Amino acid sequence: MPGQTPRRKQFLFVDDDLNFLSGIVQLFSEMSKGSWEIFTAENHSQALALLRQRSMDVVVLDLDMPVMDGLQFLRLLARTHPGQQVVILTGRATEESRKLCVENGAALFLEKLITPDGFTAVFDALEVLANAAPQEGFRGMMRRVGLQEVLQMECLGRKSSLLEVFTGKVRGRIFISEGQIIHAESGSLQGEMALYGLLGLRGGEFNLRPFAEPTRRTISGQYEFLLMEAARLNDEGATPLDTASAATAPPESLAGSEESGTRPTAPLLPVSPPVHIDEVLLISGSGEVLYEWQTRSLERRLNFLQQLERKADLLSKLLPAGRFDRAEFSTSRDRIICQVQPEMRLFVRSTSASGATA
Amino acid sequence: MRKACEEFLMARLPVPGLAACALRLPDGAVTHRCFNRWLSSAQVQQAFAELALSFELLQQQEMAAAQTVWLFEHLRVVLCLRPDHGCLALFLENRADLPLAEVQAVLDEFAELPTPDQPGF
Repeated sequence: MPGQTPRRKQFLFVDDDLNFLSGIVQLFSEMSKGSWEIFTAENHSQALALLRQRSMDVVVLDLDMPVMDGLQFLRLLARTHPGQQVVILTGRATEESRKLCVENGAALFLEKLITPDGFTAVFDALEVLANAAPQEGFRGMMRRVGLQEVLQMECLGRKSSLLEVFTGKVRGRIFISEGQIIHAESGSLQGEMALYGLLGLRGGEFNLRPFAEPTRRTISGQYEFLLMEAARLNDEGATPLDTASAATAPPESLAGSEESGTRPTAPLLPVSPPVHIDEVLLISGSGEVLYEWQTRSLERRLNFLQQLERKADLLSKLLPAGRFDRAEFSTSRDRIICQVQPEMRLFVRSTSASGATA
Repeated sequence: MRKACEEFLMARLPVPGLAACALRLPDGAVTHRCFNRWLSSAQVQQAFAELALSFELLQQQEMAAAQTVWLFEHLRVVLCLRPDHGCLALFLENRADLPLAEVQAVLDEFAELPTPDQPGF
């Protein structure tokens, strides 16, 4: 709007080196002549807390940080803040780390050169990235505004647009032409099934882009009926993406079952059915969040799994117990199963109707 | 409390598959017993100290666990924590014929042993 002060670019620097952070704030504030607003965080927890409070144009991560390093945090951000511009700024740049970071979504991989020229180069690169023209279209979070509402608005306004929907595991597109939904696709699904699946997602992000003609039109019904059918299926918990992709469904069968691989011989102590799964977190051996569902506090859970793994390692050394498989914790209400395998760690919290005794 | 616990454990243990047990009384005193040579006293003591601390892991998650199971390839350790901080750990061979219902009953009874300030103690 005319007369308005231009919005300051928001930068978040994440580094465990406090001297570096304070130097960056001072130097880049001067260099930007006040056009940058710079935030700092000493670790991923602080960074996540800041990102929950405000959006950042660019997040700049150090690679070598305790607890969760920059690469792990980059992967976590890709999951929790898809689309966030992330730059790696490291003093230990290697070709392998560069490749890994770029593959995991880093917009830039910069070397931390503690020289005037080095800082200028970093500043210039970040300035260019932050000033890059925003992509045409709008972005939104599905938790704040329902995908159905967006579709309704587009259809009511007889607009033509392309709605891109994505979560950590699911990506899809819904094509709207002159107020009619004409095509949807998600993974191998197309048509109404893909539409219903996308509308059944419980969270994620979307981009509303200019219309582009799909390769074919697979949906012809009135949008009102399509949205009503999607709502009905959602109420019944029968959205196609939930059934088509096991990774998107809360795996109710996990509690009290033998999940995978070579198992110790004795079964778990029995669980009184019915069991209700309340929370699931699955992370890879390298700490990447592969799947999370209703996780109360991701950071806290990740920290918990790390501590648990350390304790299990210690116990494996103390006792002739063999490989650790899992730990189960029962509270008066909850039952928690934490499985630790070389390639993954799983956290499942459940409640049973009759309490949570192991 | 010590006497009540010892009498209880004498009456209920060993169960088949039990290699060792360890007990922490509400006053912090720790005792243990090995039922075969598979686990040494030192191993049981050190492991119990670590395992008893595991309840604090859950407290950091804002959950107060009363029972835990640590499952290894060859060993199953079950623990029960009482509100008065008394804690019982059973170190069991991880084998198919473990009497899990009996183990559970021991834990449940331990949890319900009267505390020193309760009538009937």
